[in-house]
Amino acid sequence: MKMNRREVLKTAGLVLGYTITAGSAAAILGGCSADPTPNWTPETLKDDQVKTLEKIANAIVPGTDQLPGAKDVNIAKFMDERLSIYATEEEKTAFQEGYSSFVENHKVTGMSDQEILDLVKSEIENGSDFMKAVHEQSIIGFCTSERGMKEVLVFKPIPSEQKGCVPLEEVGGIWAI
Amino acid sequence: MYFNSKGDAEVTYDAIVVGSGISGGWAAKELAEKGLKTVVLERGRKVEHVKDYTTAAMEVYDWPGNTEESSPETLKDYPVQRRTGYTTRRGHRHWFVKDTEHPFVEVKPFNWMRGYHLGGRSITWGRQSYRLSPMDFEANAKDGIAVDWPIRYDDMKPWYDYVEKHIGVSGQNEGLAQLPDGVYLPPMEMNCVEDKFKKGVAENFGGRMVTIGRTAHMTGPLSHSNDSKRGQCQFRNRCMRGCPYGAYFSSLSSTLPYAEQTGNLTIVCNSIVSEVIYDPETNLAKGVRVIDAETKETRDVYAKIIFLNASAIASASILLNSRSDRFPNGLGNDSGELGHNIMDHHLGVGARADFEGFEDKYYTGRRPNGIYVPRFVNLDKSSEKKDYLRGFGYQGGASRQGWYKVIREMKLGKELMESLQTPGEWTMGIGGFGECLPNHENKMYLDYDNMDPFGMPMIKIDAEWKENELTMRKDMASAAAEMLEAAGGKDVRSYDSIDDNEGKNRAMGIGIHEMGTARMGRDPKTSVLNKFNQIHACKNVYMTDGAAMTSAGCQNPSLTYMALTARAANHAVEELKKMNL
Repeated sequence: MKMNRREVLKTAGLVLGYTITAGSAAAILGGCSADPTPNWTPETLKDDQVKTLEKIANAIVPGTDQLPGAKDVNIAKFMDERLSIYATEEEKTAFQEGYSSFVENHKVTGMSDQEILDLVKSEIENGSDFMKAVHEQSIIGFCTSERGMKEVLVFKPIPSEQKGCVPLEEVGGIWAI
Repeated sequence: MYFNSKGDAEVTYDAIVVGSGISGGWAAKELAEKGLKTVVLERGRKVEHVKDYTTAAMEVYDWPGNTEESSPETLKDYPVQRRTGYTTRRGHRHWFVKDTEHPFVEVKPFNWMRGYHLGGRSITWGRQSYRLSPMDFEANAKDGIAVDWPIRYDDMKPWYDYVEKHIGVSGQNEGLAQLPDGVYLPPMEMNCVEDKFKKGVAENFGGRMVTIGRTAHMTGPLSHSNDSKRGQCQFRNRCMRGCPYGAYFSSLSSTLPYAEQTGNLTIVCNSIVSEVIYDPETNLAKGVRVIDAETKETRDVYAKIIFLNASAIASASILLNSRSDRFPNGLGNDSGELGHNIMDHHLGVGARADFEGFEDKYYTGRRPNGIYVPRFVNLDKSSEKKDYLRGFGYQGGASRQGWYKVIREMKLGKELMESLQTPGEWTMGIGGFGECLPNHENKMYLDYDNMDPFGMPMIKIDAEWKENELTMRKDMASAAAEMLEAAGGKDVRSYDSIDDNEGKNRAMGIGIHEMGTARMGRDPKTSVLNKFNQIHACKNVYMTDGAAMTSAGCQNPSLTYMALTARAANHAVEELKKMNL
C-alpha cells in the first residue's frame, strides 16, 4: 500500500516536472486507513460465527501453494465490517436467522474442505440465501483485499498507458481494478 | 492565488465572477488575462489543487469492508445526491453536497447534483467534450420550438477552437455534419470488440459512425504551453477524486492557475451571492450582495461587469431574487422566461450484449473514456423519424468480465483459484444520451415562505420529461439493440431504467446537465439573454453557464459553456473599452 502511494508521488513528480511538496505528499499519503490487523474485535459477529464463516470461506477460496486464499486476508473482519457498517437492519436479521438455521443442521468444524464445498453447493442449490451470501462475500472479500488484488489478480495502480488490444498473456491474468 | 478569506466589507473590482466551476473558471481566466481586476465568489469551501485530492491514491481495501460505497447511515444526508448510484461513493463524496444542509424542493422528482467548493463540478464532470453542430443551432427555428438561438455555429467555431486548444481534448476528427471536427490531442484506443462493433455498425447501417469518445484529457502535450501546470493522463480512471497529475480539465488544473498568474485574480470562498444589485440610474448592475456561508453576515461587492456562472438553477435563482422596482419579478425577467425551460439530457436507456471470440485478447490501462455513436436520426429526409423530434447519441464500451464472474459461475475451491487467472467473456453496452426539448412548463421558482439555512428563499423545481423525450427513448433502446445484434452481439438485452426507484433515479437532472433557465434569444420579450450572453435589459450582467442554452442538443454541453464564456468575456472587455458598459 505504501508503495502505491510512493509510486503515485514519484510519477506525479516526473510527469509534472516538479517536486511534490511536503504538504501535497502529506495529503496524498494522509488518506490512508490502517492495515487490517490480526488483532481485531468483531462488532457484530460472535466468536463461533467468525470460526464458522472463516472455515467456509477458506474452503471456497483456498489459495494454492503459491497464491494466498481467504485464510490470508482476514476474511471474517471483512464480513463483520460489511455486516456492521453497510447492512440494513433487515439484512442483519436475515443473516442471523440464516446463520442460526444453518448451524442447527450442520456443523462445519471437523469437516474437510471437500465436505464443506459439497455442503456449500447443495445449500445453494437448495436455495439457501445465507450460503449464497457467504459464497459471494468470501469472493468479494478476497478479491478486494490487498493480497488478493496484488498477488492473485493483476494490480497496476498507475497504468501510465492505454492499449486497446493486447495479447492476453501480456497481462497474464485478470485486472484487479 | 490570493484567498481573501476576511471578505472586506466593501470592495470594488473590475469584474465579479459568481461561481468557480467549468464556466466560472473560464470567465475568471479570460477576464483576468485581459487585464481586469477580477474577483471569483465561490459559495463553497476552498480547495487546493492536488493537495486536497485526499482520496486520489486510495485503493478499495483502504476503506472498511473493502468498498467505496457509503454506509446507509451516511446516505441519510444524501437522499437526492445518492440517486445517481455513484456520486456518494467515498472516493468523491466530499465533492457533492449533503442535501440535508442544502435543501431544495422537488415539486416533481428532480436530481439536482451539486458540488459546493472551489472548482465546483469541474472536478467531477464526465469530461466528454463535443461541439454542438450547425443543425443544433438551427433546430428550434426549423422545428418552430421555443425561440431561435441568436447565434449560429460559425459564431462559435473560433471559440470552440480556442477552448479546445487550451484545455486539451483527446479525440478523432470524423468529418461529420452533426458532430463538427475539433482541435484534438491523440485519440485513445478502442479495444478489439469495440472495433468489431464499429465495423459492424458501419457495414450494416450505411456507414453509421462509431468513434472514440472526445474527452478533456491530455494524451499529448498542449500546443499553448510547455509549463508544468498539467501532466498527461496516466489511465488510472480515478478522475472524479481529483487528478494529482492535472491531466484532465478542471478549473483547478486548467483555468484558475492561468487567471492567477496574471496577478489580477482574487478568490473569495464561502461567499453565497444572494442577489445582483441593480442601479436604476444607469440601468446597469453595480454589484452583488454576498452572504458569508460561515457567519451568515452580508456584504456588498462592486464591479463594472458581472458574470453569473453559478450553474443554471443557481444563477437563475440569484436573478429571481434580485427584485427591484424596475424588475419586480427578478433582474432581467421582462420576458417571464427566467427559471423556465429547464432542460437536461435523458439517459439510462440502451442495450448490452455478449461477444464471442477474442478470448486471447485483453487491454491495458483504465481508459477514462468510452466509445461514442454520434446522432444518426433526424439528420435529413432519409433518417427522419415521424414520432419525435431531434435525436440522441450513445456512449458505451466493451470490456472483459473480471473476477466477479466467479460468483455468478458458482466457482468453488481449486476451480475458483484457476478461474481467477483468466478474464471472463466480452460484454459491450451502449447507453443513450437524448436531447430534451425546451418547455415553458419545466421551471424553477423561489418560495419566499420557506427559507433555506442561509436565509435564501427555497428553490422549487417543477420539471419532468415530456412526450418527445419519452417517445425517443423507445427508439434509443431498440436502435441500441439492433446495432449490437448486427455487429455480432449475442444475448442482446435492451433496457430502460426510467421507472427505477419510483421514477426518481432517472428523473430530470440525472444527466447533471441542467440548462435553459435564462435562454439566449433575439427578442427581449421571449428570452433573457442576447447573442453575447448579456441580460437584454441590464447589459453588464452576463450569464454563460447552462442557463444560457436555448436548446440542448444531445451532446454533453460543458464545452459549449466554455466557448460561450470565452466569447462573452471577449465581448465584455471590448464593450468596456468602448465605454459601452
